[in-house]
Amino acid sequence: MAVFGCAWHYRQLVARLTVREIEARFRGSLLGKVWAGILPLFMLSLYTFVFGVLFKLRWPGVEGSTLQVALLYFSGLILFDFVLECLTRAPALLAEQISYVKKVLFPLEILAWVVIGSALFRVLVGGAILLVFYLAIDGLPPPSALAAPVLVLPLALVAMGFIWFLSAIGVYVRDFRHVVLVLAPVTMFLTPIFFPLSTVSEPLRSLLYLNPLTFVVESVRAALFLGTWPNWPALALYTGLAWGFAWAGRSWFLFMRGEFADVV
Amino acid sequence: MSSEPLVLARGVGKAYRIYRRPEDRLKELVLRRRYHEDFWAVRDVDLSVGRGETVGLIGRNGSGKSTLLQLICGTVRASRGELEVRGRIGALLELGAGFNPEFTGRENVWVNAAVLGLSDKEIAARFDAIAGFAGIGEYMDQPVKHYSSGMYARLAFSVCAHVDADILVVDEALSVGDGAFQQKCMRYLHAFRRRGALVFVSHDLGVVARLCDRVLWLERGAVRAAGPAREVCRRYEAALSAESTEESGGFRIGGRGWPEAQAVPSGLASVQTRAGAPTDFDPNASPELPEAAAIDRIGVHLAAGAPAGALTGGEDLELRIECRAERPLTGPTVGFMLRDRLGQALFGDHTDGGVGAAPLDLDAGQPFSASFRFRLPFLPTGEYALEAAVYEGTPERHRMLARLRDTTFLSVHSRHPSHGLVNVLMRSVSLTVEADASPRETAIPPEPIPAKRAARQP
Repeated sequence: MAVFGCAWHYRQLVARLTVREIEARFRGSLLGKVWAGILPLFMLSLYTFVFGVLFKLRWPGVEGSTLQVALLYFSGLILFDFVLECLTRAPALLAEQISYVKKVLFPLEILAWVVIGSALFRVLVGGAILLVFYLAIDGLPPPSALAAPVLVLPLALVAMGFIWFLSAIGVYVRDFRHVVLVLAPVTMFLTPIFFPLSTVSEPLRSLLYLNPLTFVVESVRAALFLGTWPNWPALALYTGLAWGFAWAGRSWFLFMRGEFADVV
Repeated sequence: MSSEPLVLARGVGKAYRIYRRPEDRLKELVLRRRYHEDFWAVRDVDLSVGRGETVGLIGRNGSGKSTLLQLICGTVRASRGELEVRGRIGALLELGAGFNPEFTGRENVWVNAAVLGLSDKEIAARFDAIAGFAGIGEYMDQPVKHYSSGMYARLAFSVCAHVDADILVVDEALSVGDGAFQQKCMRYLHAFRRRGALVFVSHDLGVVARLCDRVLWLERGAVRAAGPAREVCRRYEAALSAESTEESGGFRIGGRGWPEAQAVPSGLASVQTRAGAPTDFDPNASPELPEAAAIDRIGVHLAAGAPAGALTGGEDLELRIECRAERPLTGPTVGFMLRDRLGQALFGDHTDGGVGAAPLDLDAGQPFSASFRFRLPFLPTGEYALEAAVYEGTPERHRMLARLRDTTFLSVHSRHPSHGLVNVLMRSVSLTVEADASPRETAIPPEPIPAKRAARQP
């Protein structure tokens, strides 16, 4: 439970900072919060156009319209975008908050929760758009769709671990923000977003499972579109590993924390 | 009050590791090889501050004062020794107390108060008090990066003052901010030190000696002296002046000497009241017992009657305090006090006894006023606050009916070369080369003295 301890104690502060962070993103823009919806909508139409209309790609095993295929891409992209957002924010997280590091006894580990919170907000908006189009095209999703939000949570744990690791290292070396940018497109194509994992042959298929996104993206897609419930034992194992990773990240963060004020 | 100290440090030391490159730090952590050199910012400090105690830290720049404060606050971890801190800490380290520059004042208040352990409900209940104390008006909803340093300090202090801190740590934060706010802060600190533990850093030895019970004098990170405030301050001051004499090689007669024309400036001091606002009534500084009497206005004029804006140095002033009885009063007394920026009382007077007439009896609603004529002393440059009060009763037993403060200020621009607490009207100043037959001297108005007589003065 240690992973949650501090965040629960400061839950009001975390909530306030998260809301503030989400608002700040749109503050001063003419359209304001409308942007939160425009971005995923634009992404959805772009992929529909490029992959569906230009490339005329089909999804193996799915008979459906261009828009239906685009929704398949979109479900994976929402999750990838979520992780990417967390990873790009993490390395500079503490450098941006110098006054909290040096001047007050701020519970710095809760900043990771704020990043997760605002990234989850984007997942929520993307998910809502996905649902609207789903309802419009296919009608009610299968009951297994209820598993999709549950599947996002262990992924959030993995992202937490990464934020804690990267933000602590980011205090000492500034390289990781570039590393993340370099690795982002690679990861995107090594995640089964634009193809089902079944089309990949062994041993590559097993290797792709090393990517923490693979399991979640596959399971969410199956739950939403194929009516398949997740593989519960696998999900339990995944959650356990994710928990361990988050715990290790937090321990690393707390281990380094004492020196932050000396370094920043 | 309490025997249990709130801050207890035993042999506390802090070594900063100096690395040539930032990544060496990470290398050392992973490879377990030594890549650094130690710099001891604080060494073997023993300190104990209990409830109701005030401890001052003095020392030159870089002596470790701020590091010690950071250690107490917990933002920096001690490398050696034991440090126990009990209770909630309000910290004013340098400027800003950890504000996020992108956030508005309002957001920073919420975040800071939450970090200090207040719940949303508690913050909501206190927010108006915090905003009122800071007195920055609509700037509350601006990002604090647009704040002036004074507004920054106002807000930071205001938050600290409203979180029920047990320990307050103040690092030179009061040197910014205008006269009215500094008065307010000093009043708060004086009240706070009765119930909490105060650790105070300042280069202003006068404040330290007045505010603190004990003082720790740090030098190169170590305690050079600790003990009663006045004693340690005096020793520190003696050491400083001895040092500066050594450095400058002492004051030499002959050689360049004082430039003749500047030996003593001609006009001794000029006094101005703050433009436009010397008599404005500030509703925020309301009298404390508003039912009995009210002070409407404090006016400062030249004794000759000219408006206050045209004051010049050493002139006679007339201070007029206009009051109103809210209920029938018997023999009210009106008094005033002039305070410096730190709230130190400089001088004042009251009408009781000095008037010599029968006590005034007033009906409800009747206006009355007190007038004081005096010659302003030659004070150092700065802003001075005039505070007025109305009392009732005998000199032995009296009750305050009304008080008005933080509304009227005198702004003094001293042209005296000395930084002393007061300056005097120099009758004459001379610099003589004994071998020379014709002494050179400078006499100053308003009473020029013939050169030969002045030179022969002992």
